[in-house]
Amino acid sequence: MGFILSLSIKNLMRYKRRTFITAIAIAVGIGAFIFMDGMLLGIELESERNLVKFETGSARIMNKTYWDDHDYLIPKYNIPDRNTVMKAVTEAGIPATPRITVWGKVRKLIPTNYEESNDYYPATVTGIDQKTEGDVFLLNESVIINSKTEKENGRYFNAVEEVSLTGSVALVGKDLAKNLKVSVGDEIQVLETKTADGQNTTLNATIVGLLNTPDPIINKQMVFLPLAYIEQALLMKGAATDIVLLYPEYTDINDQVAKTKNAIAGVPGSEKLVTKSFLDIASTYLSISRGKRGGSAFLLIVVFLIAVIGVSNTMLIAVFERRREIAMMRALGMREGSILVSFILEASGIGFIGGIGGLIIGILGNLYMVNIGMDFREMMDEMGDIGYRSLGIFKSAWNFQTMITAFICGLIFTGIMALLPAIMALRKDITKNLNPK
Amino acid sequence: MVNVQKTVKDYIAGKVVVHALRGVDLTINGGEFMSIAGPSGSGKTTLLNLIGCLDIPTSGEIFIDNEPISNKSKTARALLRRKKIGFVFQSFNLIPVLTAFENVAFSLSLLSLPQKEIYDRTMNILDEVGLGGLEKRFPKEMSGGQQQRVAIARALVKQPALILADEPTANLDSNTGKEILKLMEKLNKSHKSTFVFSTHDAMVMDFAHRLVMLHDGRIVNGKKSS
Ligand SMILES: Nc1ncnc2c1ncn2[C@@H]1O[C@H](COP(=O)(O)OP(=O)(O)OP(=O)(O)O)[C@@H](O)[C@H]1O
Ligand SMILES: [Mg+2]
Repeated sequence: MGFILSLSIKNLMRYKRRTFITAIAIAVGIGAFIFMDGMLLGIELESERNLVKFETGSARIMNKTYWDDHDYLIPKYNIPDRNTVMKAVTEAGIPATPRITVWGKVRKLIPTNYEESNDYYPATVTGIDQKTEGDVFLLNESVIINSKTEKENGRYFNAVEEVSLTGSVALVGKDLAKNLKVSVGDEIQVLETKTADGQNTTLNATIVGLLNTPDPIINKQMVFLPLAYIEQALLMKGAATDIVLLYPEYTDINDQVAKTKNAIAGVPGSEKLVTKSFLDIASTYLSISRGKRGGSAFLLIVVFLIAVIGVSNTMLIAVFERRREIAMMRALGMREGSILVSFILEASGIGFIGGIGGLIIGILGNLYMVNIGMDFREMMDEMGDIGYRSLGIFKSAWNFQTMITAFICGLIFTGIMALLPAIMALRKDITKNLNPK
Repeated sequence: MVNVQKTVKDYIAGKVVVHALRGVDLTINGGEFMSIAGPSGSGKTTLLNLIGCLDIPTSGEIFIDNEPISNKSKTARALLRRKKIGFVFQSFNLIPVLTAFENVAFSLSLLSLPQKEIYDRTMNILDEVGLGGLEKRFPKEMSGGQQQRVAIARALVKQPALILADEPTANLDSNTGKEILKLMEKLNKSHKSTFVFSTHDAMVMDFAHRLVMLHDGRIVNGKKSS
């Protein structure tokens, strides 16, 4: 075996240029694969972080029926006594904030002529509790405060906002604001919002800030109001539709959910509550975004296979050129299996060199992309929503598992590529190739 | 030690059947130094290939040490070649990436002997064929005659009963050819291995202790010289 290995290495070095060129093709294939996968993983992780930090939180406690019908956001199915639930989870050490989330149709309100503005946009209208909101979400960091284009600088909600029957204040996603042609200081109206007892009601608010978050969904379809206003307007005093929780990073989400369930088990009416992690809440989105990585990975495997076919070609030439040598070794009584192994090792050797090169290319590329990244914001703006919770400053993540997999696959695939030509050579009669004619 | 009986070998080339051997009877005894001679196309290579178990006859039988070869499997024939038969080829057929030493050791490594024994036997045989000190040379760094010496060492190092050489001097000039033949003759005496070589060169035939003439797939005379 040692002999076969050393023979294979020597044969590999015999055609330095050919080996080198083939290895480069593999290196580029593997390198591109690692690079792309690192980038997609980076976007995926960033998206998930943004999803949690701006949209879903780590988990939510909800009324079971509200969750079952969560496409409709029906305020009737709420958590009537939010404070007991809040108390239970915060005592268990889990940061939490209550929210009321409902559907509505938003339009710009022009007080002098109501009829003029018929541009409605569907929106998710969310009441947030200024006191605890920051424990879970990062909205307060996302208000555009120094804009040259806005009439006035925006601000986040104050600890206490004035609430009257005629309205309150609002934070609006910047893209929604653009569609509505509104800005800080303008008034908006939310129509067709349901109250807890199922009646339609109208909400009014003055915009105090526009939100520019890394989550396009927030920017495009969210209106935030003070919880104190929305609970009054929707006849939900003391209630919430969600208690949103934040779990520490890098902990097992199922453990945390179990811990939460434990914490609220003693709360009256807890049998009507469910705790759902963001994996459940955003399951459709997540399966699509993870599927994207899988889909792109598949495409890249095709690229990689093309490189491997290069090896197959190289081995075909190698076997053809050495057919006399193969015949001689067989004449001397070398086992056919050993000859096969020697060619497999030789091809894998190309895969090994290419794999090392690919790792270097991939790691260098990742190094740049992890630390510096690329700005695709303009492109993303033009393409619209491509289903990532990212504004388009893409940074890669380290994907060591992919690196190892790509390297090993390189070895295996290239090794296999030697099989066919070698088997073909071994099926020829020894006598045919022994003497050149 | 080799017994060729009524051996026929046909090749099918497209739609034509080529009768390469048309019934050959031949006995080769242990320790012989003999030549199979004949014009081009007379069947010399075909006969050597059959004796070397590289191929099997269309009909008839060949016995090596009284064992018939035509019913043996590919693997069994490979094993028999590995142990009992050494080959020397017209075009040397050395492995270009291996040194003289490694080329010779290659044939011993197939027998899975201890490293020490492989080393000693390889160095000894290289000395014996007159290549002492050249063991680190690669084939392309050696003359044709030297390469053929490596090939002879490779065939002989495993002490086979039979060494088959198909036109071993055809790629060499006549002086070098003579030296190779003298070397083979010397080794035939010292090692008591049987040497069978083919040729169409009268000078080469003269070296043989026994000459078998092939013509059109048949033995036309068997003469013994001294
Ligand atoms: N694989 C083959 N297929 C078809 N015909 C073959 C094959 N090998 C040899 N022959 C034919 O068989 C006959 C004998 O060939 P062989 O090679 O044994 O002759 P030879 O005496 O060795 O000739 P040379 O001196 O040219 O080497 C020739 O007519 C040759 O063309
Ligand atoms: Mg011939």
